[in-house]
Amino acid sequence: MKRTPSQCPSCNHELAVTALGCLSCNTVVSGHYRLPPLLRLGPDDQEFVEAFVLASGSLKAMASALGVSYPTVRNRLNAIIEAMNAPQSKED
Amino acid sequence: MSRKRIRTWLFRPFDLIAGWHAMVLGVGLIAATAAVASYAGLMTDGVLDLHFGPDLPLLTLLAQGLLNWLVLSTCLLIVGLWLSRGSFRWIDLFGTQALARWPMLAAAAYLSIPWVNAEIRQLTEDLLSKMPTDPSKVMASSAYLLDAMWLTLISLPTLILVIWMIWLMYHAFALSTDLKGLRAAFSFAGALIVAIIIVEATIFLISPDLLLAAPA
Repeated sequence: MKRTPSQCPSCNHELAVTALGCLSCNTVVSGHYRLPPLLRLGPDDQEFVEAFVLASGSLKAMASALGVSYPTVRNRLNAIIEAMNAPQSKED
Repeated sequence: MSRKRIRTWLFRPFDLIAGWHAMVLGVGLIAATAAVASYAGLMTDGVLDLHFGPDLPLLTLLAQGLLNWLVLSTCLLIVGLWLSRGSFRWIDLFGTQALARWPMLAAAAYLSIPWVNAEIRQLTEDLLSKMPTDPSKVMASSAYLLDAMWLTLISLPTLILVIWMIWLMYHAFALSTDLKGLRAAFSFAGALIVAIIIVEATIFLISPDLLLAAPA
């Protein structure tokens, strides 16, 4: 399945949903819908979060599966949390 | 093993290993360093120190190695708790700091090579004996320049290994506490200086009465 792009391939700015279509009757709703925080992450970070959830949130299991140390995984998670918090604080 | 993997193991090993594994391995390496230092007549009486000295019992050298590691790790832990934005595990900091000391074992092994050992001892002794007793007089540099240069050259691998160790210590600290940039660099430098002073003061206060009295 294709991952939702989060950045504009042309100018690297954030992408937002401007149209939603019904798969059944083709009704189109247009507007400006901001992507949820998880979808605003880059593809690598999205994969990391997915793996984290699948590992039941165990950083130790993640580190073991990825063949890296615990602080490496934890720092990556810290960076993702920071990235997810940054736009929210702007919105606030 | 790929080149990237080898580079990581050499310069950023703590991306791959930390925690208890690093601590067990690191303490083993500190003990091995003490054994090699004992064999080669070396001392580790400072956080970054490795030099020739009087023959010390193995337990004294082991105590010095453990003191160096524990004092620096504790200083870095305090700085980390103060500056780090997130929480971190003390075991990662202590474990990686122990393992970061492995270049000291390599340096001790290099200095235990009989030819290197004898040459450095001899050159140091010669140069020191030729130092003028009057501090206002400069040593006759031209006469002993070659000896001094040769001494520097054969001591160079040790210097490189110590610089490597400092880099590993910094990387271990930055990774364990998730500190980055100037914040990490300055806090590491500050903690290192404080640790050097504490270790020197501790050894000065308890040695030789306690440390040198340890049984061989």
